[in-house]
Amino acid sequence: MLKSAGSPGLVIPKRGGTARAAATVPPKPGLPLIVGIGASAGGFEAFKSFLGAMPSDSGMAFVLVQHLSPDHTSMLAELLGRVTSMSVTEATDGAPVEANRVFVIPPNSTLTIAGGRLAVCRPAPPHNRRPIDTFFQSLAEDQGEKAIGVVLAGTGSDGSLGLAAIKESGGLTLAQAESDHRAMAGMPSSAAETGQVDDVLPVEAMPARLMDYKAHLASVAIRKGADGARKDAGSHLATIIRALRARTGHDFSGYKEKTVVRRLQRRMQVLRVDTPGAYIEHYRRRPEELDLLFHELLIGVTEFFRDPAAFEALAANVLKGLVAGKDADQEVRIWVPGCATGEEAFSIAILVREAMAARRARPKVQIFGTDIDERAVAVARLGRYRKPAAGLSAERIERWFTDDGDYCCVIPDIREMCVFSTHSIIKHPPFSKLDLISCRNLLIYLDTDMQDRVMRTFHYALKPGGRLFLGSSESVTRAMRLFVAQDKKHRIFERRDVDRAPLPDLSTARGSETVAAAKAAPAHPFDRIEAHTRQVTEKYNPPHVVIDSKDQVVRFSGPAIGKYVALSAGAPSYGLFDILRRTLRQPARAAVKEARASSGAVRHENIPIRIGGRPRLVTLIAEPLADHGVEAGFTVLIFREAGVGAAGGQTPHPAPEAIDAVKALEQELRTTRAQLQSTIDELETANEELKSSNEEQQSINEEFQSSNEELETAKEEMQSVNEEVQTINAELAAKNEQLTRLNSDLRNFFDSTEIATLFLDADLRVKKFTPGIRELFHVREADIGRPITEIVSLVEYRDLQHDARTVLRKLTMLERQVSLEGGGMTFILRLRPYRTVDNVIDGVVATFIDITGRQAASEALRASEAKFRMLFDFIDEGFCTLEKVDTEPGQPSDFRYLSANPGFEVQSGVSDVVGKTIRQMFPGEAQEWFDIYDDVLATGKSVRFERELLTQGRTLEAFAFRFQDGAGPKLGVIFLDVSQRSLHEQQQKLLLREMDHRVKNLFAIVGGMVTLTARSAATPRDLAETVQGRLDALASAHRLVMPQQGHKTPHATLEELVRAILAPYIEPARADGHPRVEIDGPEVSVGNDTATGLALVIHELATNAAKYGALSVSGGHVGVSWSTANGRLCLSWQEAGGPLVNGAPSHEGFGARLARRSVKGQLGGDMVVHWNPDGLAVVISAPMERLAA
Amino acid sequence: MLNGAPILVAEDQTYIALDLALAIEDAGGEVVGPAASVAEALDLLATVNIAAAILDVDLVDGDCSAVVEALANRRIPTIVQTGVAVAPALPALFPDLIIHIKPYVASKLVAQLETMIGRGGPGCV
Repeated sequence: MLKSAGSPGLVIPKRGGTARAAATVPPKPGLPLIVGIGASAGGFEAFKSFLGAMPSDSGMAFVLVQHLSPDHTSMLAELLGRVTSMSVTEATDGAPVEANRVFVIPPNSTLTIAGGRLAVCRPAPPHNRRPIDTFFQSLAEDQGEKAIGVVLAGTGSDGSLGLAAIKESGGLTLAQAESDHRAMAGMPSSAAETGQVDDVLPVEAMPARLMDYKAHLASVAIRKGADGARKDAGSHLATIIRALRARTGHDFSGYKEKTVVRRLQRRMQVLRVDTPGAYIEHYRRRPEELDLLFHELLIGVTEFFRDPAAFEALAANVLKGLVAGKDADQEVRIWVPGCATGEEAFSIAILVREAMAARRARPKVQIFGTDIDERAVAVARLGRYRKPAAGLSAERIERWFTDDGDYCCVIPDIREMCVFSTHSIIKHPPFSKLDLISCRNLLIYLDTDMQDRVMRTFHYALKPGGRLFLGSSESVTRAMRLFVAQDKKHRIFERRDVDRAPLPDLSTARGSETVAAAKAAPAHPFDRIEAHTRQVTEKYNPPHVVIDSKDQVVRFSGPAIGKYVALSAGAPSYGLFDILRRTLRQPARAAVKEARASSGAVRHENIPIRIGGRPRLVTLIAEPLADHGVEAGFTVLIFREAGVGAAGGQTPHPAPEAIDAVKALEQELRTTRAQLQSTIDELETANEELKSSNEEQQSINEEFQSSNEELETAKEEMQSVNEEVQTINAELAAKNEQLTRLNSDLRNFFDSTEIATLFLDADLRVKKFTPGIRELFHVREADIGRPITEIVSLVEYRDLQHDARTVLRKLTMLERQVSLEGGGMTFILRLRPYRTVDNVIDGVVATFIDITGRQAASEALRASEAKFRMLFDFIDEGFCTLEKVDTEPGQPSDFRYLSANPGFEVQSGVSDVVGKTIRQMFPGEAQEWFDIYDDVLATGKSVRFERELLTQGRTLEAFAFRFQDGAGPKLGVIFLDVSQRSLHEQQQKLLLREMDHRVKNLFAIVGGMVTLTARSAATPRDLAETVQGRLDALASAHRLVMPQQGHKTPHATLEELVRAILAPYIEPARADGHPRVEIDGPEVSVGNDTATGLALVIHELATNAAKYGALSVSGGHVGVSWSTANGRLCLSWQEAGGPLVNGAPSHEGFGARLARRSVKGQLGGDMVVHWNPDGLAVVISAPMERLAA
Repeated sequence: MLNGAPILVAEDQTYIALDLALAIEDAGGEVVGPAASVAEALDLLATVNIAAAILDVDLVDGDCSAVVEALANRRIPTIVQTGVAVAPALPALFPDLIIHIKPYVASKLVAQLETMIGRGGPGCV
């Protein structure tokens, strides 16, 4: 069903539908054509070339609408002014649109036109992202067919709705061709997709097209009536509508004539055809023009939730209750006739779905969307709309649509609620038991008669209490009996539960030439009185039928006609000659034919027939309906019985003699007639048979044709399958080649790899192996498929089976070291699961990597390391390696032991240092150690030093050096405990000091000795000899008490001392062989200090004896003996055999004095001298303690 | 000249002691001692009046500090001679003590004694 949801309502709602608007605002002849041009991104170039190609005196006005940045001052007017000599200005509010001028939309504004004047609304409403649509729609309303819409380059879909509005109101619509190099595809292609574009042209070709259009308009203007519709169109309308019906099966006779005429006119303008006659000529030559006209008539613009307030009211007052009143097993049935591209149906579906959102029990919802336009229905079925879809809030888009690039798609949930089909509300029976019918802006296209029929249809289709939802300008005023207003403002009506009106006879619509004829003659409006009158007068009129050019009955006169009609069995027919009594068929056919040929009335009189068994004479009068011309082809056939009319007067009374002849003739005639009748009957039977056989043939033909088509399709399919197979084949061949190459790569890899590899399947059967495996297993190519356990292995490895199963079970890698039996070679065996490309485990891969060489190398390394380790362990020196510990800045540095040999403990006294630091192991150790180490680490200069290790009381000699290892510089220290050595050195020092002391003492003694000796010496020789002797004694004593290493005060024995002093006198022995000196006594230790004193005493005694006593003669004898008792030593010196002693001398000699002094002073003892005549005897007594000092 | 002044000699080395003694006698002094030990020297100090002393640091029964102290208490001029470095205690205790390192000529020591007695100057501890 046709529906136009003229859309300027979007922007200027108060103006209502476009169709009415356009129809009520006829363009004034003197005013210029106004060309609205829309463009956005990239539109400037297109504008330029458009204006450049436009003659400056075209007599048209141009309004450029572009998407402009709202806060940007547009230079558009100025820039365009350079390419055309027309004046280019920015549009101002109220400016009259004059010819040969160009107006440009100001930034941040909405531009509309009303009454030929521009209206600028600033700032633009923030949500109006479609300024081109807005302007075009106002242009369509304001200018009707003088409006021209041009969509140039741009992205998005702005302009599409506007173009539809312009087209609907009779204007011209153009879009920039996509092939045009200046085009930016979005907007022009969106506009072209809607099918509302008359011409798609490159921008340079547009001006010529516009000039053409203007010239055409001018040429037809004179033929137009005051309302802008062509005066001459009406008379041809019936013909055209009939032609349309024949072509499309849809009858537009019930549409408002103005609507149809206006659309027709538009087609004529597009075709530049001047007269309806020429248009008829045109479509006869090119029947597809009728399809274009059909679609022209179906132009409709619609959008989601058009007139949102009405939809809100519908949702609140109708749908909510509707849904609430139903259980899950009940159905909600809604019909949307004239649904066009489905927006209205989906809007209602969304509302229903939203109303159901809160309910758990959801009734089944069935929304029937129907339209007569198959293309529109196809779009509706897709449920796919170009973005931005007008009328939809962002929430609804988010909730009910899915994003699909430039489009948005209704979600399946909503889509499944709706069923779309092609359906004519006029031609087809309606849906039934409906809860709601939404039929918006459809009735406005129908004339009142048709509106009544449709209302009756709706009443029939709705359930009791069902609702009807109409467009804002529609009403039920003529059907108040059937519907009562529930919400007058939003046009929601409730079905009145009156006696169910009968469904209007749809057949009348089907054979509606009479209706069309009636419409074609506006002088006969529908009139009830007249209808009733006709019913009455029919009784007195002669019975008649009206037939069309195809002999189809379009009107019966009344019941009386029944006499002449005999219905036959089979399909009902309106064919006149199928339903007339057989006897009347022939004459009637002749009469009609004659009447058509002569275009005048034809009478065939007194045709005898039998009605109800009684013979009658009937006069047939056929006359074409002259008023409607040849095209109408209507003919009236009137039946008049002879007895009723003027037959009496016209029939002469025959003479009696003639009667017999007449009777004979009549008899003959009857016979002939009977024969004729039977012939006719036969003929008709034959005819019937022919017809049916023809039909059969036709259906067989159809079948053949369809088989043929199927075969054709099959062939095409086969061809395409063939293509595919060929492609696949080629692909396979290429893949095969790749595989071959890969295979040869693999083979080469296998043959060349030295890593022996064995592939086993899940049952441990040999799948594949590399040549290297032959050295490990007695395996041949023929063994592939045999279990590996059956193959002799040269490897000392019995667990292969077990390990392989482990790998298969755990899916991890397993590594073993195996050797050839008998040694020689060593391998690393790695068992891995075999994964196919699809990551399916299919066996085990075993690789054997020869590590014999590596093994030897590592052995050597181990040996060398062992050697080093031995050295490290066995050297006596302590050895450790250290690394510096990271300490906080400012904190004292520290070092960690990385390794230490056993010598470390020996030398340092500390063990288990590895891992610890110096400060941990040697707390409080002197900072100098750390300073030295820091310095070595910093400079790399090795250093040898000796330091005391305070914590261990040891002195170490150390050698520290830096070495590098992987992680950075390290410190090595080799050290030795030198405490013992330094102790020795100290002792040495002490010894030296002692020696020094003694030497000094000795010198002092010698000094004193010389001075003393000098006092008594007679001659220097004497002095020298005496001093020499005394020095010798001193020296002897010293030799004995010479300090030894390690013994601070060595002790000599008394015997040693005496023997040493007396040594010069012991030899030579006496002549008699007796020793001259005899020494005897127990062992008595003599101390260092006393040794010199004692030595001097003995020396003095010996010297005296050698000078004056027993030793001065050869037979003399000295005995030295001692004993100890009571802590005292008693030593006696006994001389014998020397010169006679004459008593004590008067004066004690110096020597004696010296001796006495020594004994007394140094030894703390006494010395007694006995001057015995046979020899001197001296007794010395001294305490033992003094002696040992 | 010493004019018969009694001089204590404490020296355990006989030659040195005798040498000193004879040098003192040569200078007209009277030798007290010579003592070889600390005990002997202290004995002499206790019994004999002396005018000055010449001491060896190391005597047979120990070092001479006790003797020096006794001399100092009686403010008797003293000269100490030694073959080794003197133990630091002595100079610390008696800063004015005259110390000679051996060998030293006896006659010079005696000459020094003469001047010390004469003026009761340095060495008079």
